[in-house]
Amino acid sequence: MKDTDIIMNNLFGDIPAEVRAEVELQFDVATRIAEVLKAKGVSQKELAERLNKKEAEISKWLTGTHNFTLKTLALISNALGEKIVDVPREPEICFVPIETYIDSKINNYTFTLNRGSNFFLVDTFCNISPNHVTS
Amino acid sequence: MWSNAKIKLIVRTKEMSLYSFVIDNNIKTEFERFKEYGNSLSNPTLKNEFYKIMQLLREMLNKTGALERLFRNEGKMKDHTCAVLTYYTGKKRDAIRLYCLRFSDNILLVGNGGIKPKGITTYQEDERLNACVEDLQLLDKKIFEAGFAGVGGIQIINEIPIGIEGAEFSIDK
Repeated sequence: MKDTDIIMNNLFGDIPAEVRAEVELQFDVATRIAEVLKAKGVSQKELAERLNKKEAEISKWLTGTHNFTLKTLALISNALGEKIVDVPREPEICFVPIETYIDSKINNYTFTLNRGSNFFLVDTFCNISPNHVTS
Repeated sequence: MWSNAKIKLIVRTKEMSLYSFVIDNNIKTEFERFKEYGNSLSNPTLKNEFYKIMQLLREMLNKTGALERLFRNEGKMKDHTCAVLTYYTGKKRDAIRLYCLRFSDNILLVGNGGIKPKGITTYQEDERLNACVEDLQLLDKKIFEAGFAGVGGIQIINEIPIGIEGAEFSIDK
């Protein structure tokens, strides 16, 4: 263990895990909002105006320990046109008949699949084609 | 208010350097004393808030440095005194404050703090908090005096004091 790690552990090692997890999340959300504001060239004042809030409220959000509601996060996302948090989802599985796939290649059209879908080709007997598993 | 103060480096990460200071005959730094104070709190809400403040410092050390948005200015406009806090509406219940001198995103000097009792709006209304802020304001003044005078190895570069580690100051009373 490096000296810095030992010092950090002595300083902060007794913080309960649940407090640590909570503040980590709050801090990361505040950092994300600050980064989106910077990337989009939006000032705290402008964001306050878009959300019909006081600038002091935005400033408080960015101090790193604000307990955001989902509604507030949705409002911020909407006002900035950018997702603030992204909840991981299990990718969907789409089964596509192999005949359709071949037809798409012959007639030159493409499938539109949901974002994150796994793409499995199946033959007429519903066997998944092992050589055609793509994502 | 202190008569002698010595600045000590607490920890340095790739994001920032965290300093504190030892006053008069104390052995521990003001930050260590704040930590002891926080650990001794019996009120679970305040204890939780103390832990949040500590975790906030850890996040700064690990991730961002001491960014301006993470602090609230206290004291006078011309000094660097600010507070780390996690609960704002102190009129409704007691709250914890930790006072610091924020010199830049990379240099933070933490002092002491305590409970801001409900019903008060300014730190001056509480003896302990006022003493914490005054100690920092005096240290801030002495650091910049030394820096501008070019003594004690302190330099002021772009309004930021450099070389404060180990610096000692005395006040004639």
